[in-house]
This record gives sequence, structure tokens and C-alpha cells, in this order.
Amino acid sequence: MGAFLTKRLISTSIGKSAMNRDDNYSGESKSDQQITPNGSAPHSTPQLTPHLTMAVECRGIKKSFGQGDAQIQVLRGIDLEVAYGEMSLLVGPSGCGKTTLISIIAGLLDPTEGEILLLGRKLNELSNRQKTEFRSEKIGFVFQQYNLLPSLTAAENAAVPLLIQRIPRRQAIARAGEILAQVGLGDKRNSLPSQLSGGQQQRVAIARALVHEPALLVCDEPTAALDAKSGQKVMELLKAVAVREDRCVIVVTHDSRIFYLGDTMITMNDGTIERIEKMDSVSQENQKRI
Amino acid sequence: MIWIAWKMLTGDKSKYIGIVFGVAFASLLISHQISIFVGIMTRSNHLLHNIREPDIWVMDPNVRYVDEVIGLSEDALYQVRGVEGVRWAVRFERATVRTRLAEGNHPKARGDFRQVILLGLDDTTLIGAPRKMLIGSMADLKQPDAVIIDQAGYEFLWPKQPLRIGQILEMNDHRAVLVGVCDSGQPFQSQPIFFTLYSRSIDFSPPERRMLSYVLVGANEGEDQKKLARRIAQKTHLQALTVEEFKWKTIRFYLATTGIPINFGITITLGVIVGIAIAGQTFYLFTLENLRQFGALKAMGLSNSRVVGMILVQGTIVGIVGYGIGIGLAAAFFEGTQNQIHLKGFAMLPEIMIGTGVVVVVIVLLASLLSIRKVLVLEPAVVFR
Repeated sequence: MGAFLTKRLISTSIGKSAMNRDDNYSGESKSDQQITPNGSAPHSTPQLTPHLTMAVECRGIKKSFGQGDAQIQVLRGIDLEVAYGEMSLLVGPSGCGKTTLISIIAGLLDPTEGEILLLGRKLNELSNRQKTEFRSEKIGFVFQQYNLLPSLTAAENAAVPLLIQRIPRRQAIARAGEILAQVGLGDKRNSLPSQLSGGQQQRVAIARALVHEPALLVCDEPTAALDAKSGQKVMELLKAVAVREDRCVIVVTHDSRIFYLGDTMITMNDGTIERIEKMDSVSQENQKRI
Repeated sequence: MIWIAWKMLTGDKSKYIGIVFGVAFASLLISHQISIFVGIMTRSNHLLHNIREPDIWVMDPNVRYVDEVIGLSEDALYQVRGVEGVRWAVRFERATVRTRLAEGNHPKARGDFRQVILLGLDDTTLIGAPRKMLIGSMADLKQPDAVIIDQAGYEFLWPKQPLRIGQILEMNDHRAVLVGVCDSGQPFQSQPIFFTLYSRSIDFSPPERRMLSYVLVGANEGEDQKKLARRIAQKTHLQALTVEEFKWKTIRFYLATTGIPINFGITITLGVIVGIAIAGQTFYLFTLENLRQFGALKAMGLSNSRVVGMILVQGTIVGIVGYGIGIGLAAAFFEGTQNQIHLKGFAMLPEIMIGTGVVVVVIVLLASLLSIRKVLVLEPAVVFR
């Protein structure tokens, strides 16, 4: 498979337009977000300098669980940059640390060591409350099991991120209705999750992840619970509606049938990044054929 | 997010009903049983509730509760009247006598015997007389052999018969004539209560050397009743208690010497435990089943304080609905039995409603705390596992 792929560092592949995104957070001006090295790095990893073309920059990320003899090292020093305007696939065998890495990137877990610069903000410097607010405004999630609230309709489910941001309910549901129409579920807005197929539920989850216009979209095995055809459709839809110049989409997946949709493929193994491959149109076409 | 909390709660109908049922059951059991308990305690004090004129009751020093009658010498009356601060003092007899009915409580039965309470009122003042007559007049007590019966007693002795007077009874081989039926509070054991004159009650009661049960005392205007009671006790070497003191002495006696508080205490405790067990466990299970959803909400940026708020809202909703149903059912019981003469004196007091509400708050808080703890320690990253 490697023969079809062209190895290239993704940091070289960002368009200028990504510079124009709105990454203002918590009332700070853009100049406030210019994080400069202060010479007080807690470990030997290089100090991060904000790079506005990168949505995610990880340096020396390590993560271990447990203590003493029971300690398990899950991430063993991850250096990674993910650009705006792309769909990056995070692949690798089970237990290699994909979920842990995506959890750290999304601010759901703290690394044991290392620094992470997410959308121009140093996650290490944010308090838990700030991280929570940051997630609510800047990150969209698509989960493997959809995690839709069973008693809410499709539109109400899709409106949840806006409700978390205290947008009035009527307004939030109206906006959710619009985004549902974009994912082809305009006629299902009043359906309960139990009345929808797996593929439709995942599309509702995609609408929910996009409704608040996040700058980072994190998808965890979005096709794992779907059959091949539905999974492919969902991913094609995701690529069509989610990928924008001012947004970064990271998809954790095992599903080789959707590899051709990725712009970048990040392969992990045993807690490290094994390789990062830039997929050009030729290799994407080859992948699709495979 | 309150709206989402409400939708999450009511979306799972079976769990929602289960939690509400738990709270409702606890509310019903607690409020109903406490009301019955208070009613029984009130009935143990029926004499003190029915006879409201005296400020102080004077009795033998060994009397422990209001229905325990130990005869006093007639001299006691005059001794009490001689104490400074006493405005008036009158005789009062309370006896348990066996009555023979000329007409039995069964159409074909004649000559039935029934145990009844006989109250002998001061011949001159009629202090202690019932306030409300349903048929006849208190003045008729002046007629020969006249007695008046309470309504519940009438229905006990002559069930399903319309109220009428003129029936002949036999008390201690003496003829008695029913001249009236009154409305009166029920005694502890639901026995019929007969009112008659003190002088006549002595004849109707089995003979004893001392027949005077109580000396009823009215205090002078502005007199400190407790001090007067102490003064009477000191001067007469008898037991003198204010109405309130006598009520609590009686209640303490029943609490200490009967199984009533233990039985009701167990039932009420069961109500609380069952409430916590059913409502708490179901609520906890409900939270556990929604743990991934809570995790997803936390991942999407919902703060812990708002998650706690959601759970408290859910707890408050089931608390209010469950409490409303439980208290409503208990109130419906007492409302429905209001006209049941034999259940007279049983009612739900506002204090009991408030107390039950406090217990429900505790149940809901305990149930919520378990769920809150679970959700607070939940890592939002769990949604990726």
C-alpha cells in the first residue's frame, strides 16, 4: 500500500486562506493569541511557537496511565502537526494510542508530558473551565456510537452544542434544522433517533458536530457501527460538508474502505507516529480502487 | 439545559414512573402514618380536647394518663377551692361502666352488654358538657335518669339506625334514658361516651369508696396557670396539671408503655428506606444508563456545574411530582374518610405536610448525590472508548 502513497510532511501543505479564519477565543484579540516562547519549557521538547497555518501542533506528547508497576505508557512522545483545510485520518492497530491522542488533542485528557497548541491556544495553560468553554465553542465531535439523546428529535439533538452555548432554544433548533437539511435530513428533523437508521443517526451526529461552526472536528470511528455502503456515504458527506479552509477535521478510523477520502494519513503504532502521508489525488484514486 | 434535563427524564417513561412512584410511595406512607399516629395520640387525650373549660386538672398523685382514674375524696374539691388564684373548681367523674341495652345493636338482639365511658358533669354548672348537640338538649340532662351519648357511640350501639332519643338503657342496675345525641371527639378505644350529671353518675358507676375522678379548676383572670397548678399541688398534696402538661404526660405514657411509637416508627422508617431505595436506585440507574450521554455533553463543553444542575433539576421534578401524588393520595384518604364517624380525629396537619416535604427533599438529595458523584468523576474521554 505504501507504494501508492506519497510521503510528505503535512506542514508544507497549507493554503494561505487558512490565515483568515476566525480563531478569536474568550474575547482575546488576534494579537493576544500570538504565543511567544518564554524560555520556561517544563521538559526538553522544543517550545511551541504559534503557527497560524496549523490547527494542531503537538510536541513531545507522552501519556501514561496507572502508577508504579501497573503504569502503562500509551503515548511515547508524539510530535504532530495537522493543518487547516484538510481531513486527516488517524489510523493504526487497536491499542496503539489513537483514542488517547485524539482525547488529548480535543482537550478531554491532559498529557503526562509535552505541549499542545490547538487553534492557536496552548491547552496546557488553560484551566479546566477554560478548556470546557473552548471545547464548546471550537470543537465538534462525532462519536462511534453517535451518542444522540434518545428522547430528543433529530433537530433538538443537532441543536445541543448551541444550547450548551446558551443560544435560545427556538433559535438553536432553527439553525439545527438548516444544518440537518445540508446533511440530507431536512425531512427527518422531527424524528427520534429510534426512528432513524444507523447512517441517518450518524448524519444527525455530523450535523450536531457542525452546527456551532467549530474550527476542529474530531471524529472517532464514525463508520464503525455502519455497514460498508452507509459508512462510505457518511464519510463522503462528512468530507463534503465539513472540510473547509478554516476547519481541521481529524478522523480516527480502522476502516480502510474510507482511506481514499483522507487528505493526510497519520499512521500510529505502539504509542508513536509511524508515518505521516500526504494523499494526492492519484493516491486517493488508487486507494479508492483498492 | 433544564429543558434537556426534563426531556431526558421524561423520555424514559418506565424509569420516570418508577422514580416518581418511589417518591410518591414514600410521601404517602410517611404522611399517612404520621397523621394516623398523631390522630391516635390526640384520641388518647380525648377528655382534654372535649372538655375545654378548665385551666387545670387536679387528680390523685399516682395518675399517669387521662383515662387512668384513681378516686379522690370529696374533701379534695373544698381544698382546691381554698387555694388562692382559683376562680372556680367543680367535680368531674370519668368511669368505665357496663351498659345493658333494652334494644340491642342487632334487630333481633335484646339485652346486649357494652362497655362504655361515663362522664359525670357538675350538676350546677354542667362544665365539661359537649358543645354541639345533634338531637336533644343539654338542659334535658336535668330530667330523671337522663343521659346523652356521642354520635359515634350511638352508631356503635345502634348501627344504621337514625338518630332518635328515648331509648332505655341499664347502667349498674339503674335505669337510664337517652335524651340527646352530641358531637364529641373520639376516645382512644372508640368506646361510646355517655354524659350525665355527677350525682347520677355516682349511681350509674360500680360503687367505690371514692368516686370523684378529677377536680376541674378555672384560674383567676391573669393568673399564671403553671404557678397556680404548683400552688394547688403544694397545698393539697394532689397532682395538679395544666391542660398542656396533662396532654404531654398522657402522650409520654402512651409512647413509653405501648408499642404504638415503635410500630409507627418502623412503618415511617420503612417509608423513608423504601423511598430512598426505589427512588434512589432507579434514579441512579437512570443516570448510569445515560452516562455516555452525560459524557458526550461534557465532551461537547458542558461544565460540571451545569451537569449537576441538570441532575438536580431532574431530582426536583421527580420530587415535586412524587410528593404531590403521595400527599394528594394521603389527603384524599383523609378527605374521603372525613365523614366516617369512627375515624374522627384523623387528619393531615400542615406540619405533617411540611415535614414529609422535608423528608422527600432528603430522599431526592440523597438519590441525586449518588448520581452527581458518578457524573462528576466521569471523564468526558469515556465517549471515545
